Amino acid sequence: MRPGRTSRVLLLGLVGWVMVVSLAGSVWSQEPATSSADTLGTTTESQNLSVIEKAIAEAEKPTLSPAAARAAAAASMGGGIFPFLISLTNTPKAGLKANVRQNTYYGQFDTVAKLTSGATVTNTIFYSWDEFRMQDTTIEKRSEDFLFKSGKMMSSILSVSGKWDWKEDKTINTAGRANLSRRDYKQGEISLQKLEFDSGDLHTRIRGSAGADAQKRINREQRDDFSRGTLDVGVQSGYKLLDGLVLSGRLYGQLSDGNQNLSDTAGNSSALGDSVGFGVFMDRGLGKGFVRISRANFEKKYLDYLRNSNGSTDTLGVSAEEWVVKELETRDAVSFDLRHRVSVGRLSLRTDMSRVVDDLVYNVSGVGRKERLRDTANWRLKYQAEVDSLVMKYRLLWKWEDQRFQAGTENRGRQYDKTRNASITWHHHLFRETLLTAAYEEELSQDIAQYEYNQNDKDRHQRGVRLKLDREWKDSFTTNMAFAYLQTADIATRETRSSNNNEKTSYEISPGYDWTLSKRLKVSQEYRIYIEYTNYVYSYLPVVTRKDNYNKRGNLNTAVTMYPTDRLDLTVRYDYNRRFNATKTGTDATGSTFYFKDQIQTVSRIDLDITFRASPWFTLQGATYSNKNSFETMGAAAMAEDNVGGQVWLGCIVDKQWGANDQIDLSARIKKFYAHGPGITETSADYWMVDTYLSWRF
Amino acid sequence: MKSGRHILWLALPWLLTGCLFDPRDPAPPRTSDPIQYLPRGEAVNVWANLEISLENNDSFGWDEAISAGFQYFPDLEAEAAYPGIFEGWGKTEEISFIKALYAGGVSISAQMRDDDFNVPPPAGTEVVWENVIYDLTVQSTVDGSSIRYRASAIINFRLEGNFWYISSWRDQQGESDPDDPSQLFSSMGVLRGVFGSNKSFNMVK
Repeated sequence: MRPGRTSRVLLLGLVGWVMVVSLAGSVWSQEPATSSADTLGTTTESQNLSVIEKAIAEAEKPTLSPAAARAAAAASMGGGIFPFLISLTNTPKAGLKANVRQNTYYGQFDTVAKLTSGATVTNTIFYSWDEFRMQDTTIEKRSEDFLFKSGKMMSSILSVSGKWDWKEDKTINTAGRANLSRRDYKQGEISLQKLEFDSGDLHTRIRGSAGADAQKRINREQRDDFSRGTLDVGVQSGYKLLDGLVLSGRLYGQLSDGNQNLSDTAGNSSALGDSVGFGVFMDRGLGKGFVRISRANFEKKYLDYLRNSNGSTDTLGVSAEEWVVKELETRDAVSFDLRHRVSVGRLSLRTDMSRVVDDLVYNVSGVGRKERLRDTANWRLKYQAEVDSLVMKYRLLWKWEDQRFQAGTENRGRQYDKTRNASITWHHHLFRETLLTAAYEEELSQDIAQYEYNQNDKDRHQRGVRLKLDREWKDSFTTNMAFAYLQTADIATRETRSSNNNEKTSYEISPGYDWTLSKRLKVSQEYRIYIEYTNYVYSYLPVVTRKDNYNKRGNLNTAVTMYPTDRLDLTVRYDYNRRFNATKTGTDATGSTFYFKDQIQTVSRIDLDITFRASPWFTLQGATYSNKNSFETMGAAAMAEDNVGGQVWLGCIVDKQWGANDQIDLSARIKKFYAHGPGITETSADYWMVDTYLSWRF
Repeated sequence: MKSGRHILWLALPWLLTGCLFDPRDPAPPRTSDPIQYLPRGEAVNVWANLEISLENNDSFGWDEAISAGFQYFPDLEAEAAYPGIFEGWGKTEEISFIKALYAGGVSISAQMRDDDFNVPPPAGTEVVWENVIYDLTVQSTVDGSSIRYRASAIINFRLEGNFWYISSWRDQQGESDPDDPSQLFSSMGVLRGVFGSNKSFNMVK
């Protein structure tokens, strides 16, 4: 058979397969309870597979070359039936997942066919059932995905895909009100990519696809159905101006048309969109990068529910016949991108800049018209010395959004969001085996409302320093010390909101070490202290009732890990937390400030983890913790409370494969939890955490 | 090693950018505190602060309650209505959402936990609230429309540094009007989806 004829036969075969798959999906969707065995149990294929498998095993004998092996495989399959098939693999899989919230049971059947010239066919059939433990909800899902890729069978890449998704969820809320939501979605698509032409220095690539999809959906007893066809075509050309300099242009168009049924209203839906773009791509002595400008627009006509000025569905007080409207949505956008990378010696600079201008108009929705702009700029300068490095970054975001509501006569005013951020990071080897990392970062973010449309004019200014020192004393002992300082100022500029303006200053210090005492014993400890002061800027004014406060927390973590045998790991951890929150009561003549402790909390927690590797494929695990909490509040609402909680879980890990080439795979991660303590509900007190499956590859 | 010291000179131009980080001068307060947030030393106060933030359209309060590692998980209805919007929804998305909501011309009344909810006592450094029912009504000051959101959720709180924060919010399902169980409302996931789907800058290319 000649290659061209082979391709045509293959294509016809695949179209037939897609139709069979779609038909099978339709049949299954109508009769889910009885048809799964029919869909999964392709007896004839299974018989052929054992023949293929035998043939491939024969072909893989070292006495044959790969080409001869394939020929032998094809010959042993009967030659003429599947002359282009190299291998066929089927993998049925069944599994169970469980956690504190839900249990999921699932089954899957994967088929992968490798054809000559790199072509592939894949198909996945999936089924799952979910039961929720904390709410009265079940979900059933069925799906099928089919994909053919032509590989190098032809000069361009042909893809044929088919998809079917079916999902039904039933929910009963706490008031006993039930809701059924069901969606049945089908999609088919044929696409052609990398259709390429060369004419001198001009290179052109064309891609296109045609497809159809359909949905039947019901939620809250309201229909949301559609069926439509889609066609899209894209052309991209590049012209080499000079070595390392290419002028590129692209044109893309998309068209879709179909029918829609929303609630009880039927109508037509369509969309027409296109985009055009030009760019210059550079890879010369001045670095690498590109400049690109694109323009895109679309027009969509569809049925939609009535929407208010924010875009939320708003059908309250409207008769059901008037819920649905015929919407016309148009959008026009222009974008500009610049990207550049350059390196000179040890110095490198990266620049990324972009601008997007966007105009979105709804004909009926209360949203009306939205105009938006977003500018971004990022610079990164790096100096790399022999062992040191310095990185400086500057980041800018500048965007605004304006809106003219549907019934409005003028715009509401721009809502600005401006952010500037600069940072510097220095990695420096202080001494032998001692690394210092120092970083400083500053950021100003601003929300600005033009025309005083709302009261959200605010600035947030942050600056912080981080220092970290890491030292490896010897192979078995390492230490680290971290220090962080952060200052945050929240500033509302309007007089109606500025009474809450405050400045928070926080410090964090955390020394720690890791010590490997022997092959069988490791110890690590970390102490962390957090301090935060909040000062209200206008707390001195009589109209402001906010009081400054002081908060502190100390946290000591200790972990001892033992390896008594090569199979057994034991870890004991102890965490101790103590914190208090205090409010400023006054300042004396010497300037000392006094605080009253409002709240003290102490938490002690001890953990024990055990892992025992019984065999290479079977591991036993278990853990338990006990937690003691003391909580005390002072002042008018004084109270003290002690409580104890804890948890224990036991489980195992199984990773076992059997058969030739490990065809059968069993994977299991199983844990059974028991918990007690305040706030532990019935569902959290006793549950399984499971992720297990059994699969067979043939 | 010498070059390691000299490279600090490279930081000099960066220091000159200091003037770019000057915040604006605020107007001194004219009235007493309109917004009285509770101390964040207890999880129950952090949740109550969301109510104060909503009723005062003050995004600082929402920001202070949300952990840097925050994760939001929508209920099934919101996920189906806004597919793909909630993937990787973290603190950045949450704060963008709340700022956009407050800037959208709204007046909000909220009750962030129902009266029947038993608040778990403070214990350890993590607390889970299961099946807390929140209820809020968002009224548009532009067109006068009023939309109610009522749903049950699983909320995780974590002690980070000195204060408690909300580390995850998992909406479970829309809840009914207690006075009329047949009236079913949506979760805040749907409200998040409305504002999340408006950020469509990324669709341009």
